[in-house]
Amino acid sequence: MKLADLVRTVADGGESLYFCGDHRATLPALRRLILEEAGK
Amino acid sequence: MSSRYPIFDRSRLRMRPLAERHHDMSVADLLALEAAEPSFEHPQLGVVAARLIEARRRGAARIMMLGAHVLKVGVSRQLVDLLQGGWLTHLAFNGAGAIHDYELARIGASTESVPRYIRSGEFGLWQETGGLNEWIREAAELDLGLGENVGRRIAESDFPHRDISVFAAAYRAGVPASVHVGVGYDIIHQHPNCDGAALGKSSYRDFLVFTRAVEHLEGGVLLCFGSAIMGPEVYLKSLSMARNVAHQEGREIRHFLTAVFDLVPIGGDYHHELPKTDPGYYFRPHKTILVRTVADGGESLYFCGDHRATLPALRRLILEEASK
Repeated sequence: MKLADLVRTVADGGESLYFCGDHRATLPALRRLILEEAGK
Repeated sequence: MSSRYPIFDRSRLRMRPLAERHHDMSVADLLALEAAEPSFEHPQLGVVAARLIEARRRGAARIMMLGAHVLKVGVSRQLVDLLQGGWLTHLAFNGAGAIHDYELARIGASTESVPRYIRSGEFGLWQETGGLNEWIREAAELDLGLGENVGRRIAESDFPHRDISVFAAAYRAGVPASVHVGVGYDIIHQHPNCDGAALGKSSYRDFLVFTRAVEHLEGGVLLCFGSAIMGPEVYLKSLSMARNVAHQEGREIRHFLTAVFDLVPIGGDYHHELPKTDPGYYFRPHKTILVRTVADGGESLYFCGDHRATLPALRRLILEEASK
């Protein structure tokens, strides 16, 4: 991914976030949060 | 059997003429052959020049792989000159390389403003650039490679700037210019006239043409300018295929020089891979081109710098060395 694309495609109203980390950690962490939020 | 998933209907797209596009670069930005080139000094750049000269004397492969950004920094004339001088035996581009070369030859300008046109959904949807899709369809019909037909068509065209087309120069010189396409990567894939089967057939032929070139790499040189994905990935697969056959025939493809020219600083000794815990491990030109594929007898060099400086500097050294 070009880091510029984190900017250009959301410049007219979108939002963007960047997460730097090992996919073995980030993806399970996101799944856990989805399930926790959905279970509330 | 029909797919369970719906697809985007391209007939709904509204295309605009290329003449209405704002361009970020033009032929006025191309570096002249006689111009004072941006400064780039490196003690080992002369080694690359000397090896290219030696490889040409031996008849070994002199392969250059390029990212499209290299054309955007304005060194087309230097590339055309290297081709005309017989210094290269193969050029390999990604799909965007063919697009920038085509637009520069046809209208003398290229490179649209992504931030400007992505807002309105006009990015990439320019009528004349889609003409490349017709040439790709023709390439498939004629059993030609994608890059071969683009070069042939530009060379035979009345495009006002065809003299600075790298693809046309390659075609005229009889040097294969292959295009290694990733589907969905390029603006012409957005167009209603894009034929995915023709794209695949013609670019796959280019892959086999490239692999044939790699078969002659023993004693030769492979250069990679600004290609972080296509260059190392295509080269890796091709080298394995070439070595597979060479081993069966009692030949070797291991004594050659690779050189990477890029913008990314590599810390430490680049002849060794970084650990997987280092983000730099995933910079493929490093681990693939500079380490793994030359581990059994080859050599590698890395040059960190702007392509507008490094490529003309290499050309100058080749010409100086050759004239001694």
